[in-house]
Amino acid sequence: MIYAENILLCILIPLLVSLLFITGKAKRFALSFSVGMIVCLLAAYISGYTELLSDIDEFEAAVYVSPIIEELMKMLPVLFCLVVLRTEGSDLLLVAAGIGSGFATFENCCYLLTRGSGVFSYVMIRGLAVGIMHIVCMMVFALSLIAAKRFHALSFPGVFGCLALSMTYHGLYNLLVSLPGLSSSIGYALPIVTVVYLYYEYRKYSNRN
Amino acid sequence: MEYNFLSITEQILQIGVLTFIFVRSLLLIKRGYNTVIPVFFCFGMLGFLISDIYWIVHTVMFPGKRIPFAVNLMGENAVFLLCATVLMIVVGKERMKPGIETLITGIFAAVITGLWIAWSGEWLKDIICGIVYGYFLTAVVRAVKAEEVMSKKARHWAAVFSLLFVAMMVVQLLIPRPSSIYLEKAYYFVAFAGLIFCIVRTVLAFKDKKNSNYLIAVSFLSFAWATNTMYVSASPVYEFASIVCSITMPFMLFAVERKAEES
Repeated sequence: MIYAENILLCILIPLLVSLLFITGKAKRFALSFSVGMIVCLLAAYISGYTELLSDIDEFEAAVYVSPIIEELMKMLPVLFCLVVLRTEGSDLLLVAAGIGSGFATFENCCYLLTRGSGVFSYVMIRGLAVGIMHIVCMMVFALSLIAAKRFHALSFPGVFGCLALSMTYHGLYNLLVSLPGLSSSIGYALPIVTVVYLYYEYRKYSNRN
Repeated sequence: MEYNFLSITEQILQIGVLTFIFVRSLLLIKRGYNTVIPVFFCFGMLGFLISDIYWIVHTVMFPGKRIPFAVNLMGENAVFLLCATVLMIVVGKERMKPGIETLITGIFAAVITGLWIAWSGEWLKDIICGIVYGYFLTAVVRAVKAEEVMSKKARHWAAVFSLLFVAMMVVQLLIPRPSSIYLEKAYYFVAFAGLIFCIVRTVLAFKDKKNSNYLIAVSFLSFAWATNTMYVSASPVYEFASIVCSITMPFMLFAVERKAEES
């Protein structure tokens, strides 16, 4: 049993204080990072509540329900920035990266406090696989929003289509790592391979433009 | 067990087709046709691909275990939403005004959703998927009307045909089992007759070198009817319909490629 709210406050307060002294993109990233951590806590509440309401156990909630709730929760602040604050282009990518990394950081903190941080391989798996997976989902989602906005094709079904894609990708990862063995190894490799490919293509695209 | 083997074979075949489509659409984007149509189409097909992989992985890892809220269905929702977006962009919102066709398609989708709930009892999952699927079907029907894939008279016949199809399914559900078998066979016949009609129209459209908008509308219609046939069929007809559905998917890719090259 951990007190996730207390951990959140402990990490969040220095970040919020730092916002008073930083400006520009650094401020935007720090704020997005903080929002990502808050969203992570809210997603955990909702997942827990769903588990209580339905007839599913903790394992089923983690494998089947969490990807849907987590991706939906991460999408909301990005969509808010796009629609209300009119954030576009690289600024939206910055926000998405901040939310994704904030979410992953807080989730990792809670897991390590629950299960211990003594096993180095486990710590690396948490960092390299789960951490990256949240960022990959957010980056793909943000890139598709930017593309849709650029070509004046931003629509409700388009946004939710991209969200559904992120949910499925996240769901596949959770399913693969739910049992030890070969499936877990494939699952851990999945976000790493995706992020390397995504980064390669993104650099090529940036250089071309 | 025999049907499980059949399901896995059919899913592997579909994964092969979807991988081909995903790679081709990715290459299309990389060739410089990085407009939103190939991007959304590519993402949609990726959603379908991940959904199929998810199903196979789940079957292998947890054989016989029921999925409480199928994450893989979210992948299928991604296909329908992104394909509907592609249609909206291609045809244009102003040319896709809702009319009587939209209403009939809405009724059709609502009845299909009701039947899913009656068959599976999983109302939340079925309502979410039903809304998304209904949206996709209405987008297809509006695109078919806007691009004049069918004449007005043919569209009226199609509406009658579709309503007859759902009516047969409802009656089949209400009457007792031995008598309902004949009706079940009859609606499978109607579903596959519609599917053959759509595929033949699509092939002829490609043969006649119709414009890319027309090709997109007709190929998406084939895919929509193929998925419809698949979703209302029980195993082993489901697996057969799924194989036919895999055949309709490359037509969508070829139509999107034509559109990208034209633009």
